[in-house]
Amino acid sequence: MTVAPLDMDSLILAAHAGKLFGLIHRIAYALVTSDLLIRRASPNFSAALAPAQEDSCIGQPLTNILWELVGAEESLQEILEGSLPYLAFERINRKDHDGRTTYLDLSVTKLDSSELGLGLLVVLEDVTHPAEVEQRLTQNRNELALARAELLRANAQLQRLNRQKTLFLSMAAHDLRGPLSVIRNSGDLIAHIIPADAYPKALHYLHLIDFQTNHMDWLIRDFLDLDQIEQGILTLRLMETDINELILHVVDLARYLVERRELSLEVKLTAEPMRLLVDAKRIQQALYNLLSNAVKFSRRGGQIVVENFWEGDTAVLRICDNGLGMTAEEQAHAFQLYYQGNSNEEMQTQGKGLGLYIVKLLVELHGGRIVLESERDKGSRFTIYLPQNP
Amino acid sequence: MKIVQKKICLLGDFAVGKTSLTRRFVEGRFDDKYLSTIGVKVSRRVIEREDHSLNLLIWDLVGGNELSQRETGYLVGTAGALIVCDLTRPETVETLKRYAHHLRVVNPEAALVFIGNKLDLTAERMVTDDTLTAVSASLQAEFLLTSAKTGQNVAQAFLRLAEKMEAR
Repeated sequence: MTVAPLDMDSLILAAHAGKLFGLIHRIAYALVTSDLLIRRASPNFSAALAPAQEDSCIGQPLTNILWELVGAEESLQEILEGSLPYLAFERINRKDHDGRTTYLDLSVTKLDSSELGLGLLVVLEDVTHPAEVEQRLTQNRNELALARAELLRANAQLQRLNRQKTLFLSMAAHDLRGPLSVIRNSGDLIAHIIPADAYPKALHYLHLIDFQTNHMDWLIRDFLDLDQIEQGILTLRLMETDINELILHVVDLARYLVERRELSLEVKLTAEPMRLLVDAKRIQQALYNLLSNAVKFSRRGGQIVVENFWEGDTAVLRICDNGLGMTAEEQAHAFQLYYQGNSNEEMQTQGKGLGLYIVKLLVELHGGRIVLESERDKGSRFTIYLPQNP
Repeated sequence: MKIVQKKICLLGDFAVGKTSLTRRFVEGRFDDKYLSTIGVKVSRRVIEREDHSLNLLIWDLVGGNELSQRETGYLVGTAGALIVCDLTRPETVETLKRYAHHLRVVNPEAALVFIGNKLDLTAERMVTDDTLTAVSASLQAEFLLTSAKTGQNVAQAFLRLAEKMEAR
């Protein structure tokens, strides 16, 4: 089907006429005398302002009908005198017949008519539709801002509570150190007094005391470190250290744990000493945490490998086991404070969810990073990357 | 009897309770639902005096952190303003001075009363009297603590502002 040019013009004209009709329908006006009385108004003027009182505005003072102009009499006078070009108030809220909010834009300009003499032209435009969209946007923006502020407040409160909790833990941990030291020293003294071959059972229990007091000592240190880390006051004492020696020392510390679980432990070190500028005590702590974790989550007879090597200028320290491993979900949270995966329950271990969190922070304090690779029932591999010069 | 008309504005950040204060004073009711105001809603309440009626035109303005040109235009002809903050949101106190400044640029003679609203939310209150005293003293105005929900001090705040406007 073809459309003749004339038909197209008609369509365009009709569309424009429709728009114009819509515009005229939305716009209302009133002509106002210089003494601010309404002389004439479009039929929809009163309806726009006071739906129940149509055609009641003629002869009324302008500010009786449009009370939004109360207080603006001086400005209206300035418009009449020509010193102010116009006055406009946008988005005036009014109620319609049904109590629904309608929005009007109001403008007042000077009118010089032969019939009225000097006067004012008051124009009202019904902008309800765009204003409703604006209202919804504003509502959403404000609600979001309120929710954000609420979240920030809740977060600040949580941080305060967390600080109090850490402070309490740190004080408790500090107080535990004294009695723990007495228990350990007493155990050592008894071990020296009792002949080794006379009471083998007693020596076994003394070993247990030694092991458990050491474990408690590590826990206490973790809590005290956590306090320092959260306060941002944990500082490193960097000195050139042979990482190989450090690894051997850590392996020695963990030997009792390894033997008790009948695990095999393989250590693969670089041929030359691996010299790095680190806080030896802190790196030892990180390695011991990882190694004791590997022991904890290994099944009897399992295998652990500790190794180190260079990747360019980066020192790589790795601890692998073929133990329980972690699910993807557990891996995602492994370095979070107080996180305890299902493995703890399965292996009946007593993790507090501190160790890996502290290891990660200690490694990062050295300018390094830690990577965890793991698969459930196949084992875990923790790799620490440390720069040669932190 | 003589009728005196005065325009007053409610200014303050969004959701501090300007619309609720106006509704409580004009209609004597409270609605818990938060509905953001855009533009301006003008309400009226007549106060009878011995020798005249005072017709208060109350402009409940859009709340926002910055007054645009549109909102500044609303302040033309204002005789007084209630500048409102939310006692549970300290950030709404920080902007009180800015609103007072905007108002005084348009109308240096306008009377001012500061309002700390939502007094009923005792457990969540985060703004102290001392803070409000400091802000209002720096602008030579007074402050009142109100609750649009319970109506506490709402009428007093409007009437105090009316007194200050009529005294000028």
